[in-house]
Amino acid sequence: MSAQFALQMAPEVARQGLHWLRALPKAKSRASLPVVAASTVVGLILAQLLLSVAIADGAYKTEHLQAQKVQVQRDLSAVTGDLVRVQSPQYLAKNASALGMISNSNVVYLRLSDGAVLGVPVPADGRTLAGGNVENALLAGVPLVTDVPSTPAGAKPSADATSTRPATGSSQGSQGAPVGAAGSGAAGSVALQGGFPAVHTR
Amino acid sequence: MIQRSRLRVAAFVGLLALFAVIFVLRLVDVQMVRASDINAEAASRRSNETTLFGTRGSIVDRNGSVLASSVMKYDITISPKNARDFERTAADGSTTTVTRSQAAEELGRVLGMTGAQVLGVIDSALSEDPKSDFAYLAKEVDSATYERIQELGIPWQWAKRHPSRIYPNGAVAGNLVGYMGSDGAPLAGLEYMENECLAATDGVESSLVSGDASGVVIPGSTTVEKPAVDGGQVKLTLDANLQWFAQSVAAAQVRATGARWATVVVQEVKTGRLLAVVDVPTVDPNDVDASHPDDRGSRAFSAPYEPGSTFKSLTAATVLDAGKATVADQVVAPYRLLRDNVDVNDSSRHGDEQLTLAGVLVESSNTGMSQFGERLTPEQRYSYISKFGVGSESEVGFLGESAGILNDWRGWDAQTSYTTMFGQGLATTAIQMASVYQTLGNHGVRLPVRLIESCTTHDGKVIVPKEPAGSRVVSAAAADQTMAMLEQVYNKGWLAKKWNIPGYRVATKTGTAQVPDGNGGYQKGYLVSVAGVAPADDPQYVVSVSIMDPVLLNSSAASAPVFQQVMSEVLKQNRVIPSGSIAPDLATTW
Repeated sequence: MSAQFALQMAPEVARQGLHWLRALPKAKSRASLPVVAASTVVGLILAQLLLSVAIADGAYKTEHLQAQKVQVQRDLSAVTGDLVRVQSPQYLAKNASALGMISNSNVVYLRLSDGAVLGVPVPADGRTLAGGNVENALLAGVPLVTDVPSTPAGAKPSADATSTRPATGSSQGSQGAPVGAAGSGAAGSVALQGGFPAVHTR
Repeated sequence: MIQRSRLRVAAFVGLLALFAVIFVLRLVDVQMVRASDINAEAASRRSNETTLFGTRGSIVDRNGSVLASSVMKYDITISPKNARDFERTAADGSTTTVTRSQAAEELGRVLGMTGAQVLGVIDSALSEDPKSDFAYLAKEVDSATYERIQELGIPWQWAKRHPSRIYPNGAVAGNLVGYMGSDGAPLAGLEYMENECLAATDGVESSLVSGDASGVVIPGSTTVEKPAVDGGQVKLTLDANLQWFAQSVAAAQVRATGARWATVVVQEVKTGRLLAVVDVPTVDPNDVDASHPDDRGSRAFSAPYEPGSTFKSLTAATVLDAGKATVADQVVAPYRLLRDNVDVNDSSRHGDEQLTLAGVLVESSNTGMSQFGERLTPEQRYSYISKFGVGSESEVGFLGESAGILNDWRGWDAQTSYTTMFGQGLATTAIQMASVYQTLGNHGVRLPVRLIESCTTHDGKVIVPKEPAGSRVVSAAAADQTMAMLEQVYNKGWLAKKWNIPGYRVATKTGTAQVPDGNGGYQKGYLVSVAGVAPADDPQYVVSVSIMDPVLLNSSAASAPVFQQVMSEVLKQNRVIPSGSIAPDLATTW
């Protein structure tokens, strides 16, 4: 149908026997088909390769981060364990005793509205709260606050009316040797050695 | 030309068809004929299943202070047959040879062993089995030790995860919290009782590993087959600080008086909640082996004893409730009271005393109390005693809890029907005695004893155990009058100076009970006790102290200082405003 229409519209095309119409596209398509196919295949392979490299790279990153997470969780559980241990009443009481504190169970209240004293003031009877009566195996070897030197050797007391000594950020662990401010003067900082530094207020 | 191209097309199609047939045949072969073999081989070669540990829930006190929690520990294992020299690569890439004995020395240093001990483990494993591939070097080491071991990079060492428990407060409430076996099975106390809430469910994780010997996990291949479910958190009614304080005071007194054991129970009058249940000696769940097997539970729940005179408050309240006496009713209390087949004595010789009911309690007269108690039938008294909770387990239902010993009144002989008026011939637990005083302080209404506040599941759901409602045991008037009489005991009794708590009104009663020797007689020592309620004008707390056989101070003077210190601490910790009123003064003699 379309050929007849073409003959009617363009007789010179009919005279030439439609040579060019057939030959040119054929030659072109035969040459390009394998090229297109091959390049598509190569393209696909390349794309897949890149994709899998990207995925594998991501997977390794995930793996690394997961390992890091496990490590951080382990650290968290270790420091949480340390914290709850030093929060135990035995440890607090031992430290309080070591610092010379004594217990007075007798309470007296001062009512602010009228200044009334509620209760009978009685001085503490000197009983100390030594926590040694209640065992805690977790506290074996944990030093008391008074065991931790809070002033570095050789440091002179500060002339300030109040001085609070900050702990350095790095924890030395219980085996750590004292570091830092020996001989460096009053401004030196104190390394935390397996315990919490006492606050010095004068 | 057309023919040739048709041929080519046909050949191509034929070739395709041939490939298709080959593929289909191959598919059938792989998918159907050899499927099971191939699947099995693939699974064994690539898939690796590991346990995902769920975290067992923690046990906390009423303020959230942790009494038991989970922690991951590690068992350090070795492969004895592979224990030999190895090359260690330093950070800068240089390698050094580490000998077997050097490695043993390094391992030992971290684990607190000598190198020889480590080698000993290796050698003994090899002597038993030359191909031994597994031996424990240390069990349940903490994560810091684990990491130091890993840094050594010893190829024939492997750490196995071991979910474990720590008890940050040590022996504080160790009697109640209980402990676990090294295999992770709960063995005692709340760990056992509340296991349903606490227990975690382990999950399974699978991953693909490389087919070679190294078995490296293929990144991204890990899938969770079954997620781990964490356990719930058990919240107790206890106050850990108070528990520690009472435990510390009781332990000091046990030591000072040479006693065998002591219990202290602190209970809230208006809620029935236990704030402290102390047993001395007790167990530190972190180190169970350090305690005697008899000391690993809770005597306060499991060991009934004849309470003695602290029981007289109960008898007084029942006589008042039944309308058979008033506070001011008068009796003559002799040293010795004789009835048919009954012989009742007071603890020390005295002439006839003219006492009121209040006076009978102040003097703790057995003969006086007998004259009030006999106004009720044994059946009536049995009914009252039962309603106070004696003879049945408390609502806590603690592991190994005793119901006490209360024989049916029909089985009481004449003597027993009198001795039960002053706390002999029957046995109560420390918890039951606290509950009796809770009832008296709470205007005659006994509340269920509570130890478990709630269970919070891993998804945040709070389950509060259902408790039965309180029950009226005696009238409010009878309970309040009994409290007023116990205030006389506090103010006028022989221990008035020993248990004085300045600023507060307190109601107390002592007990010095004989202890059955198991052969129908009584032992030489006594169980000495003090039970009391404060503040008496608005009763809030019960403290009940019992000390067994304090050989160096064999009277309730041994338990009075413990009561005084613990009750003072309870009032202080809970910011109880000192009493603004003065205790009523009741006539004790006539």
